[in-house]
Amino acid sequence: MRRTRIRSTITGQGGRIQHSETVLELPHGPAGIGRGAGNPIRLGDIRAREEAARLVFRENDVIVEACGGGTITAHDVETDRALLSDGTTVGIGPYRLTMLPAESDVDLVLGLELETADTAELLARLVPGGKSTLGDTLVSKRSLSWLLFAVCLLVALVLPVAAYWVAQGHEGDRGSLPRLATLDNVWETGELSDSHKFLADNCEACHPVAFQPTRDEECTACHATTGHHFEPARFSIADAAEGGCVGCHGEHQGPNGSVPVQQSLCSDCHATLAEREPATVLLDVSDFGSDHPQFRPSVMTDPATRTIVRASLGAPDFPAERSNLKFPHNLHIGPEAKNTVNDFVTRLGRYEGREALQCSDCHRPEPGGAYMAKVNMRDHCADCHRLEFDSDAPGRVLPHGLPDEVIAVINDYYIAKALQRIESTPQVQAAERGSTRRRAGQTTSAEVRRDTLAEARRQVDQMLDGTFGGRLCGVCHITYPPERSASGEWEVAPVHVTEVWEPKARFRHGSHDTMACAECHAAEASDNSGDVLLPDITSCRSCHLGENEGAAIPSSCGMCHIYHDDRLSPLARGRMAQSGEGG
Amino acid sequence: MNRAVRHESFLAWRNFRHLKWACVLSILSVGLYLGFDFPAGHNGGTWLGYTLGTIGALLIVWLMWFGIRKRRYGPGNWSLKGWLSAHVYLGLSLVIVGTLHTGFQLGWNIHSLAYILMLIVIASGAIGLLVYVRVPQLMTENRRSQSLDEMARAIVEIDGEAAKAALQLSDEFAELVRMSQNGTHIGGSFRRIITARDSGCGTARAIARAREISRNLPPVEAQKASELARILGGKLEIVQRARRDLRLKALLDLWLYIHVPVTIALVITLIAHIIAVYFYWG
Repeated sequence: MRRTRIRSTITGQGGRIQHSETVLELPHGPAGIGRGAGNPIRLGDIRAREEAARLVFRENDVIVEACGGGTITAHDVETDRALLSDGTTVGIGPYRLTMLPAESDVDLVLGLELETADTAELLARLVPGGKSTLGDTLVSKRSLSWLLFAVCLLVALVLPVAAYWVAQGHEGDRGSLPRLATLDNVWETGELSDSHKFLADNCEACHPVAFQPTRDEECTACHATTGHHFEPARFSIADAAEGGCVGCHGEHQGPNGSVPVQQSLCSDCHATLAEREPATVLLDVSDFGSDHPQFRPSVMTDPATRTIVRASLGAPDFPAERSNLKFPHNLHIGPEAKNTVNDFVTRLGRYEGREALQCSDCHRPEPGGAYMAKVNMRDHCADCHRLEFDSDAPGRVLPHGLPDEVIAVINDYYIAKALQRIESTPQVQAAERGSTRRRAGQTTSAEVRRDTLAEARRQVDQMLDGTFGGRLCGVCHITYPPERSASGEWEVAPVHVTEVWEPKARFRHGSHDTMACAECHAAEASDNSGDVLLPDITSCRSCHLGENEGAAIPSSCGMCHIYHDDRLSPLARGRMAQSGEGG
Repeated sequence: MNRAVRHESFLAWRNFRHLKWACVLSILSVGLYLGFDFPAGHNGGTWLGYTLGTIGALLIVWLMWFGIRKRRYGPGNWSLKGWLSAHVYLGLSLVIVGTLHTGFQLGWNIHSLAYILMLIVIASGAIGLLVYVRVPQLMTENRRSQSLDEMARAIVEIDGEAAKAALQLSDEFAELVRMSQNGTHIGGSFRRIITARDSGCGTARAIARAREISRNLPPVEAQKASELARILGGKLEIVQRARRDLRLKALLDLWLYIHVPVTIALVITLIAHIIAVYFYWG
């Protein structure tokens, strides 16, 4: 047995060193070193293996050998065995073993050092890198703030301002503008209306001067002919629109345009217009459904003097229209018409299967669908109203619309017939004698010729009276006989069919093609072309009411009325003139 | 008084005084919005739009002032609780004022950007509010009167205990104890902090492995092994609490990573918005 002293040094918490020593009796054979209970030299740290190493004594040498597949270190280099007795420090797991100078009371003195981890070190190991908060792992809030600040400053302010200055220098030469010049479109407050979209990259077109509101000049640069709303010379409110063009026409409101539709835009003035503007002939109006005057069509009361009267539909003194045309609707369409047009309608292939005409036989919307196309003789009347004047010449028709020609045709026709008679008279005489040959030198007598021509002239006059007076022209037209006409011949009064009874309103027949004509127009009961067959406001109100009135079609003023009237003087000049006066 | 009660009290400060003001402001804004009609419809350019915009901008400046004011400790005639109460309620009412100011017109422009940034700031603030109402209580419950430092020390102590328990056991178990000691982390990365999870947790792995090994041991050894597993189980419980503590603390901070930087972005965008409106006026 070898009496062995082991001096242990454990360096622990905060560098605290703990010394201890024990004296062991080691066997002569190999002595185990390790954590296991069977080892003579026991190691108390978990990091040491159960059977870590063993001491082997060979003559004067003390050798440490690794056990159980593990390794030891000598001078911090891994090895299987190391000579302890030459002063080498041998590492066994966390322990360091050295041989100390001999002491008299023991055979061998060994030093065993262990360095245990400091609590602070253990704690630090728990939190890798000391990263326990977001601040330890993320970029700081301050840096992030500066980054976002810089990005927003650049995109939202610096680049747009730069774009403005770049574009300023390139006036009139936008084709060569650098991409930078369009970077101010991030300032666009909303999508431009479709009609202005071509200006999307050209903010300066409407905003030429920084920090100055858009002026009317920018608008009238293009919209030079846009008319006034009323004649500025007649009314004291020379300009109803507060704030100029942009007062009503806000842009950047989306693709549907900058034309406002709010009823209040009109009713703000028109609800009390008579009070505001005593000179006006317009009646007050504030809402189509609840406060709109009855329609007042412009009716031609005297085509000779072109007198037009505006009167409310249904008023007791509502005038008859005088178009110089006679056209009773009830004789053409509707139940009564069966008795009058049936013969014609059934005879003509195009109306097959019908008993009367219908509206669309004559009235068709014009291309575009706003108004109705004009009715004309050739397409709509001539099928039935054939201008055949003599039963001896079926198919020969008089020219329509040309009274002088009518007179000439009738004249020519009957004179020609008389000449034929004169010419045929000797032949008749010869026939009576049984000879077909005329004797040489034999002619019609002057008396016969005179009588025959006089008869022809009587026929012409009769036919003109019949044609113009009643049978043909006079059926539809107002005609004047020679004794009442300026020319001394038969005349047809010029026709004035009103195309638009309400010129200040816009009405599209095309938008109403789901309705039957008779729902609005009481034509079947009309026996006089003097009737103005317009529906009254009640009829419209069965579908259309003001913009905020329930289930009906919301109909603000702009649905039927326009604001800028191009028949009036152009707004641009008017404004400039006013600003000139003001200055 | 616990944290939850204290936080509730800032919401109810002076009998919900600022909630009432915020309601008045919101109802007034909605009333004006519904009560007036404009030719081109509602947008920021009408008189009402300008009014709401001005109120909104002033509110934003005032709400930001809170961020500066709250850092000034010391005497003064002000109450942090009162300011916070106002900050919360008036900040929330800004959603209504700001939205009505836009007239519900949004597009790819800086004006809408300012609006979106404002909403992000308010939303993050709302999340922060929820976090501040809920999280401190969770933290208290989770901590069980132990500070994070105390938890860490307990973990180290348990490591010592585990080491002692493993002294009696084979190297295999000693290795597990070392695995638990060296492979157990709390925090260390954004992901681990915010999820409070560590898929490669040394302690969890050691426990699982110890249970596995102990099945094939003789009863005496097996009992020692299960004792070790019990000790490591106790450690894991504290480790998980410590992780949750970091997570909860991070939650108290996370919303500010959006709230503060986006507020700064909002301010400059708001300035640009105002300049742009007057730059291209009309």
